[in-house]
Amino acid sequence: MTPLLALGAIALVLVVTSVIGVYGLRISRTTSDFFVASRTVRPIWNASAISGEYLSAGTFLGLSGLVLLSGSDAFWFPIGYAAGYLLVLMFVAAPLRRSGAYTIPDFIHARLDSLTARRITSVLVMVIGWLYIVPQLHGAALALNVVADIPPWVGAVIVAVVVSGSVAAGGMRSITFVQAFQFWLKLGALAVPVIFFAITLSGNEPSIDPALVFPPESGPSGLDTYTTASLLIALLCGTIALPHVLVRFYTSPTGSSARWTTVIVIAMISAFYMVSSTIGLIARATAPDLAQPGVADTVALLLPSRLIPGVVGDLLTALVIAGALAAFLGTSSGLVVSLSSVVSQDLFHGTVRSFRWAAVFCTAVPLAVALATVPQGLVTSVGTVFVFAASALSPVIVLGIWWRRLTARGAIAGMLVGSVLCGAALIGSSVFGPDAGPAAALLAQPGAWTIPAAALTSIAVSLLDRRTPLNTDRILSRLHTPELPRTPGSPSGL
Amino acid sequence: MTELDARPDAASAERRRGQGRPIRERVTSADRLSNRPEPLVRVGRSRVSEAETLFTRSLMRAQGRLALAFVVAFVVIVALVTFVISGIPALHDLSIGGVPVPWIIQAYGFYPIIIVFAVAYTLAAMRTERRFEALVEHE
Repeated sequence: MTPLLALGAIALVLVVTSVIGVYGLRISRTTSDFFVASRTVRPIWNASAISGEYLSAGTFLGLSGLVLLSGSDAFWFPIGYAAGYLLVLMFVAAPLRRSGAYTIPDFIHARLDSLTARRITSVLVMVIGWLYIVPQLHGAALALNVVADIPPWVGAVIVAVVVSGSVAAGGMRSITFVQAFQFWLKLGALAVPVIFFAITLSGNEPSIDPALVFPPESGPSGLDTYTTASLLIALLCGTIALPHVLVRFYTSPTGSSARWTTVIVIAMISAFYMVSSTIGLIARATAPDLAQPGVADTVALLLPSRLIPGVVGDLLTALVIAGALAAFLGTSSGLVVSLSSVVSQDLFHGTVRSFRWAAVFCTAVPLAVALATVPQGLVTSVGTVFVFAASALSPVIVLGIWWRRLTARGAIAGMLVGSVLCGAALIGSSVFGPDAGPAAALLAQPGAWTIPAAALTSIAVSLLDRRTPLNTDRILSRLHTPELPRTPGSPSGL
Repeated sequence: MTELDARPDAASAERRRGQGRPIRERVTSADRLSNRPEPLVRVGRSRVSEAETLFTRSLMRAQGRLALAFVVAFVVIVALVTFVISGIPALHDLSIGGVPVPWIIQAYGFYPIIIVFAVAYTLAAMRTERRFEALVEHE
């Protein structure tokens, strides 16, 4: 493998990203451009951008790594991520678009008319976003270290600088185009190698023993019912509360276009996950020696040069590293945009200048965490963020849209109970590990009990409180009523 | 004098604007956090009539029931498929291209189900909204 080709690929992605970013800079002029791309983005581009943002290091490198390491259990992660969008579509896409709010705290504030609820939501959004950026930076460190022998901290710093720079320069408008481009790059960067692998492997049938490579106990029949169910519940509900997922719906012109955008997103990410899963299956058959913790996540980068020696293999490796870089950049910049919107609106009245400083601040914190910690499995780290988001914010968002009697106190109680229980369980799980006995599974996968606990707390406190905000009916009518068709001269219009 | 001096300046500034590029208009958030009574962007009717509240509630209930029905159906189907791939050991002896069928189903089989549910739900939700709009227009 020649590091030169890999470095060339990295440079190319960075150049294209900044060129699209600068092109976007010329057309993003107003505050609204910066925050939500002025709602002028077409569904297909918006869907590409959402997918580009959603597909992170977790599924680009981590999925095939975990398939190699632990077997078919790993497939539950992408299934949960894709099905999570189904819940987004059914429960939040259209109503949140119609709410017209920029960020999750904006929505909570408007719905519950409470500044305290808003502040707590903002803090939780920040925590979720930072936890999510850390594995991206870890992935960058790992990937650049493997292909080009660059010290790990350099990779993390490069990604952080590019992300904060491009977000601060162009805001959401340019980021939309950058991420749309990055989706297609990510898909191509795994799909093209898969085609080459398929041709190579069908040419010379490898003598694999299915019982050894795909043993039943690592397959679907070895699944643990509680762990699987709890993980799936958390992944499904967690997508609703991801800060960078929701902000995207504000760029759709209407509620129904937000729905169709979501449908396109589900199709796009499904295609990507199937390709990424294929790499995992091929890895099990051809690279069992890489099945060690810490090394397994690099298998997608190492496969091309192993299976196809020579220049073609090197070129494919360069393509994969370009896609991986797009994965780190896409997810991190989407997160930084939404976190910066939250910080600049909550602390500085939402000006463009404060948005730029917020972008730098929101990248610096997770960078410090990433440099100070040791990377764990990428796909499980991302999964943990989903569990926390699902416990802390999802119940309140869904109740806020669908339940009239939710009150500010109910929402606050639910958010606190969900985040504290989930945080305690995850910390307990990492402290006690498997020593916790029968409670070990409950602590490692807390979603199945923390999400209902948060929801029930919200409901119980709201029913006791009874102080429903005065404008509840008006806001719910706005969330659920389809947009009026735009007729000239109509007084209300949009 | 000052007035006379000022006027040509203003006039020439006006002319410059007329000839050159349009003036940049900066849109900033007008409402501050502390006194933001109405943070939502869409301007609608300021008050909700009794009838509209009733309509909204029935629409909400209809959409909520629809979403719940889809979620329940989805969970049942996923549980069924999971049972098939985990509970039937005989499937493990079948393989496609060297990969056992349960692995294949778990890697690829769930996504088509998710996509079908997404399209079906979107069509059903749009139908509910159209029915609601027709009802409102009749009023």
